[in-house]
Amino acid sequence: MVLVCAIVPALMLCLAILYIMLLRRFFLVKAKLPVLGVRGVLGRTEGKRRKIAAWAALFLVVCLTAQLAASAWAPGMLMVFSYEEATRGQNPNVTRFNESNILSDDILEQVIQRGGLGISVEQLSKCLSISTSLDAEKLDVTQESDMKISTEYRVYCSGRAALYGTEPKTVLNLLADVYWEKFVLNYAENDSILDLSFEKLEGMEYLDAKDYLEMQANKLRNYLPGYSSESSSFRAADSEETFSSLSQKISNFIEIELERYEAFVLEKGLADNRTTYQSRMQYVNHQLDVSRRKEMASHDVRIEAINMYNAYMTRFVLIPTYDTDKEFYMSKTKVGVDYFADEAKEHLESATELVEKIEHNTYASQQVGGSHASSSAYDQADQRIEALKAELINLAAQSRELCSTYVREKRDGYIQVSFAAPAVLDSALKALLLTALFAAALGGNAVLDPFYREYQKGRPAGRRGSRVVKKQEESAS
Amino acid sequence: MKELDVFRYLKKYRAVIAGLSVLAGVVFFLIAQLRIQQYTAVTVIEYTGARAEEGYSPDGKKIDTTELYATNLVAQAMKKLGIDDTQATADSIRMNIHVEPIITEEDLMIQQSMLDNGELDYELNPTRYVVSFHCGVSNGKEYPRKVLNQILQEYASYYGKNHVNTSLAANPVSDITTKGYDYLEMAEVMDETLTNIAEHLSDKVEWNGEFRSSRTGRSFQDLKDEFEFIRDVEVGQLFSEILAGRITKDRDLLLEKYRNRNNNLVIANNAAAFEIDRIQGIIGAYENAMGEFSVPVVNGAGENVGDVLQNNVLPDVYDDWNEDADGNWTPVDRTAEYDVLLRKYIEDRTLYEHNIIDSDYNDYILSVFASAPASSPQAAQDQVQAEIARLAKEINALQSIYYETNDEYNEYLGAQNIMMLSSVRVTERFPILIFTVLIVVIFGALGCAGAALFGRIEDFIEYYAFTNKVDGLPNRAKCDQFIASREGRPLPETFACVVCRLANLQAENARLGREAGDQMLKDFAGMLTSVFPPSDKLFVGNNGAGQYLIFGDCLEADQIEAALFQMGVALEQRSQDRGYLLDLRHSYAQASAEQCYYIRELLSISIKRVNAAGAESEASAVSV
Repeated sequence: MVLVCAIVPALMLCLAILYIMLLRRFFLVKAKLPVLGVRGVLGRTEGKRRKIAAWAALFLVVCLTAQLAASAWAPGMLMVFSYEEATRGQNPNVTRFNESNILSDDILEQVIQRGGLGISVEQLSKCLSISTSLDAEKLDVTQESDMKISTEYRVYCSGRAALYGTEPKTVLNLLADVYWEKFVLNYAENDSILDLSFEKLEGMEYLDAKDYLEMQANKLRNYLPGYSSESSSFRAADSEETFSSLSQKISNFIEIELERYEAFVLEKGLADNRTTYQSRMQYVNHQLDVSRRKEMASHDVRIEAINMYNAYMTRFVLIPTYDTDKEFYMSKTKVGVDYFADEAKEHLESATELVEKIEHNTYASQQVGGSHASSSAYDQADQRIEALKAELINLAAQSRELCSTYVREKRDGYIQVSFAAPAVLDSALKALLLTALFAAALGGNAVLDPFYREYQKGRPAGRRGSRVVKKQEESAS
Repeated sequence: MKELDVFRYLKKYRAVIAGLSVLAGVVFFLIAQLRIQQYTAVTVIEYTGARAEEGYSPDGKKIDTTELYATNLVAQAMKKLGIDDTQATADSIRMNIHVEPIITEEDLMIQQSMLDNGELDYELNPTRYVVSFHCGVSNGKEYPRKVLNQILQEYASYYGKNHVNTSLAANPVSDITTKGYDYLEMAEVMDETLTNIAEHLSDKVEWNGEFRSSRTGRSFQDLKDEFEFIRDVEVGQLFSEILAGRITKDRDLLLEKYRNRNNNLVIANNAAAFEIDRIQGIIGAYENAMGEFSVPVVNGAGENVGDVLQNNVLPDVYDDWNEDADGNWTPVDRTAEYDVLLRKYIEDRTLYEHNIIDSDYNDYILSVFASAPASSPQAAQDQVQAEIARLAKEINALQSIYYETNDEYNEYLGAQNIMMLSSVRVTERFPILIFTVLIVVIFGALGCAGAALFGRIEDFIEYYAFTNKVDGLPNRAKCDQFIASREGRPLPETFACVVCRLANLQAENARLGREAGDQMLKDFAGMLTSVFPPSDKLFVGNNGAGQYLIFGDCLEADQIEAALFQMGVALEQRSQDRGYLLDLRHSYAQASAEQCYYIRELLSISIKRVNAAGAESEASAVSV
């Protein structure tokens, strides 16, 4: 096929040679050309017209066929980035899109590896080029309409690739596959968070298992809001599931099923290792108590500061305004005590939360300490954990299904790849033009041929002729 | 001498002029295309941060576009693209990157309007910039696109990292097992690290909770939950194991450390108590002073002239920013001095109380380990050590995911704050084809002028060196030159050599005088050139001593006969008119007829024939 690609350039070279010959003959015989009587001159080519027409027809067929074959063999590949962010020059994850990555060295290296090509990265890089329709336009920054982001990129692979034992189309196919995979891996939606792992649950305390399962469920729940805000009305065709309904299911799992499990474990006082668990609760409570005391100390100090604050120093100004219910409200300028009061409130809230945690831990520790649970209760808890895991896996599968369907519909595969079909009309026009030039050259040569022969007759046959003359002279003498 | 005729010269040198012009065009095109031509990659970026229109990046620093081609970014881009020093150096790339602001007419009008309205400190802060990169063509057309794209990629990441998302929690857990810490200390470091990371992640969740990495699949909330779970459950478990089992590498060293901590806390609290006491004194004095100053001041005439406090107003109420000695701008602090004092009191008091609580915690640890063995059993130590190693590995793995997520977050922030308004376009910088056409035209024009000049000089040389001054025909030297130029190659079939000789020239000169003789020669030359008009294919020259040579490329025998006959008739007519007598002898030889294809031989044949004809003529005259 490399030879087929070389046909058109070879034909053009022949054409150039023909025209050089034509010009040379014209300048050699121009003195003998009749100024008038062109018709008569053309009449001399009458016998050669069919021959010229036959050559021209052959030229046309060869030229057109070679062009079509070459463009079918080494077509241009069009990569259309069909996701929404592409129009802003961004990847689907809203990072900056870099089209040069399509031909980056690591991509080409993978192309070579996957195709088992006998070519180096550098050589392959020289065979490939990328362009956009915007390259042809000069950027005019004064025109807002001139600033455009291209979402289509044409990738060409030179026929030179055949010299390394591969075909351009194969290279482009491999490139499209490798780049798509890399693109999806680095820039597309990643739902690997839905691949829940429960390895850690082995040997975990029953109450910790609840926290672990809650954390996993929260991962699912956190994954959905991004989509639900984008398209709250999207619905899976078969399951009729929406993002909000699925999110609610996960919330129910946390608030109902996990809570029931927790209640069961606390009621029965289940623990894998009672002593260790109680010891841990004791330590955690000690830590929490330290934090609580610190929070309360901070709170008390601020209250102390507020009490110290001299009323004489609080010269504030009243400001008429609205409250949250849009009722008139007389507010005032802030002074130090306002900030101290805010901070004291925050510290108190934190301390209260800590007290709640301490109470909870104390209760759990007490329940575990005073537990006389039977082995059936433990079996029941284990079964419940298995059921909760299965439920979570099911929710993860539903989430993946729904999100994948949505992404498939919204992103449309991220990148659409197509190969340009041979442009028959363009090829035909080019072939016709070349054929016309070819026919003109042949015709011109045919017209000048008799004059050129005549010219040649008027010249000695070069060195051969002179040698003949010398020989004749010698023989005469 | 020949008349000045520019077109004659142009016609003569047209091939040379055309050839040289085309050659110059081709040479220029090749040199320009391979050496001079440059590719230009260009794009437009826009800073879109909240304060970009004021000229600030999100971290409050002035937007500095020179960061875009800072050495470190260019070097990073080169490294990622695998560009070595043979292709380009960092500086050669930096020098060819240009960042120009886009200032529209509208911007200028707004600025002018502001200045006209007295806002003299109004500053125009463009947010759009054209970024371009020029380079030679040796590395191909893809090269500038790749370089500019990569530099922008690095810049977006750098901008996000340094001007938007500046915090990243450290990870001192990475090599904790190799440090020789005691187990409790290792657990404390882990707990502290996880608390710090969780706090950082909380901030990130607050700023950009919806961000999720495409590479790791995690959001900051996911990471925060995982870190917190490790801290609350696994590290908590580790603490309880250490404390319940009173596991230590060296009890005495551990106890000593906690005692020392308590000592330090006591010292710190003593200092804090001292400061608290003093600050309370300042606050009291300040209140008293304010009370006194606010008493209305009455002058001698009993008039109220206002109170002293009215002078106690805040400075800089009109300015939002203060510039320090280093040129950094900070917001004006308008906190009242009284509040500053109370804030300091709160800080010290809080520190004091917290130190007491920390001291209690240390006492708790001391009480736990007081009854511990000097060194725990090796089996228990190994178990805890293994647990710590497992936890450290787990934290490190999660930390790596956090860093990777954060790197992508930086790119995300960069792209959010620096928008691309145009794809990178690669164009040729110089229109080489147009320049080539210009070069061809210029060389053509110069060639024409040169041809005219050279042709004229040639005319002068021709006239003074190669022209017979009497008849104006090429002289003997020119004839020799012509013969020499043709003797190297065989003659065409139609080549002919005609020799004419004025046999009685000397006699007529003697009879009529020199002037009449010269006139006679002029007349003859005129007749000769009218019959054999000189051209590219016909040479007519005076070989001296009344011998004239005519060489023609395409002269048939009939043509020569007719021409010589016509000349004979004309000469006779002219002789009768002028009263002189010219004895013209002529002969010719044609290459095809003589089968002689060398000019000297052909000339020799002609001269012999003329001489022979002369001898015959003289012989017949003698016989008569």
